[in-house]
Amino acid sequence: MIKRAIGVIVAIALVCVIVPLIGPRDDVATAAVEMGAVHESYVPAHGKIYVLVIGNDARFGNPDQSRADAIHLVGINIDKMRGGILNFPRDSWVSIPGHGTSKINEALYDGGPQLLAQTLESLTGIHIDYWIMTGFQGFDGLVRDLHGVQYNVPHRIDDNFSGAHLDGGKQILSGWEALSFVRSRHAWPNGDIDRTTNQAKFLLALLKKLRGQVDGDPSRLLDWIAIVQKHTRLDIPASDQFKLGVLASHVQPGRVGIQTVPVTIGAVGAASVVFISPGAKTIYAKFRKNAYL
Amino acid sequence: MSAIAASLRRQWIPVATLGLIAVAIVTWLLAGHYISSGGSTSTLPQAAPAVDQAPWKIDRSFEGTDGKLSAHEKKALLARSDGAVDLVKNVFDGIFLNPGDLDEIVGKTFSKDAARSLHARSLGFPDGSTEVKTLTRHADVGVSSDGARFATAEVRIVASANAGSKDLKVKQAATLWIERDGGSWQVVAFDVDQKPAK
Repeated sequence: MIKRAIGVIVAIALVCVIVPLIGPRDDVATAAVEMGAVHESYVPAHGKIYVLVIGNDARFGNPDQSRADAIHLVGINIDKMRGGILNFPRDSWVSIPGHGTSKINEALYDGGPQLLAQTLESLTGIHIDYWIMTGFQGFDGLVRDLHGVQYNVPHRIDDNFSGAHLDGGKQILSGWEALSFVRSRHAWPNGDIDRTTNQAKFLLALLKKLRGQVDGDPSRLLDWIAIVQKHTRLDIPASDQFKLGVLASHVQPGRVGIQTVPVTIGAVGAASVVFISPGAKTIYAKFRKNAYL
Repeated sequence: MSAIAASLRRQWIPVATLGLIAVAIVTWLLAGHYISSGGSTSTLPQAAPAVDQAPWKIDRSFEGTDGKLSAHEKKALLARSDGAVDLVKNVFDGIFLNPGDLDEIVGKTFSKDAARSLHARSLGFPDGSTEVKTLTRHADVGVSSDGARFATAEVRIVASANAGSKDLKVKQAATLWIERDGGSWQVVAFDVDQKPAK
């Protein structure tokens, strides 16, 4: 009996020691931004590309086992050079393939970016080509290396939870300021729903900066790629990164629509959740057909 | 013997005379003297006089590095990116100076999308234009310092030509997005704008 108990303890100890040593843990620990292909080969279907952008809630020094705080499906229609950003509140109550029904942000915890992508594919019927994920550290580093990003903050924000203390108006947000802004939900009347919209608007501000710089000097795209790579564990082939960068730099921010899936606030047991309204299906269909909103 | 010698001398003199006349005619033609005093061109075939072209001015920079590159690294990147520079020169020489070669150049070195972008525009001068002269040829080539996998080229060209009774002058601004696959470079995207120049 004692021998058996010792055996079990040794086995558990071995698992605890060995499991963290295998797989990409080292990479993950140092990688603040991660990128990957959802499917094996990259073939834009009928001139459309969809990229899942994920912001996780991993704190500095704890990049593993995170949940998704920001979930955006970005589409680009190559023929029309138009795009769309479809935002999903993190508390959306959805079916996660192989894991029952739960908040959508649990998919990242349960199965990483691939499972979150599969969850969205199953929900929307949209074939996702790539995912890109960042955490607090990666986002801060990215914006810092870009020497800040200009953003028009709609009004004075004071959010002690996210650390955002910003005046209203157009300003250059530093890495830390940008992070506190995109995390802020207590300073907004619709909480997480406003936050997810703000995150999408910040993505457009990044796009505007990329375009502005590349328009003036195309070689700046190579700097952008290097900055992303600096914070990245790369699963996307370099060639596809370059092409995606070229493509992004050609899309005018004014031709990218933003939409947040319509939801109603509710509860499941003790958990407060949001239920995606049936009207979202019309948005999915339009986005699936056009890749823009 | 002397009769044979005299006979040969008689044959040699007219042959030599004819030869000298032929050489004189050829020399005269090559010197461009086939234009009559009235200014109209003769019906003889015309050898196009060579037009001096502006030299290529190429500025190359290495992008995407925080620190300084060593001399050895720079040398390696220069060598690897020479192909991208040659490609840029070939494309624009094709557009302006050798339009007959352009399809082959584009077929070999452009992706399908980039080729479509190039063919969608009417570039260079109309067919039959003569005296095509590039007045400035400048390319800023940015090369990724991470092994020269990618390059961007911002090209500006001013050129003039004669089309029938019209003198034409155009300026062209183009951007090429270039990727290296093994030893060869390929244009994956191509943006161009051509306008009349003063």
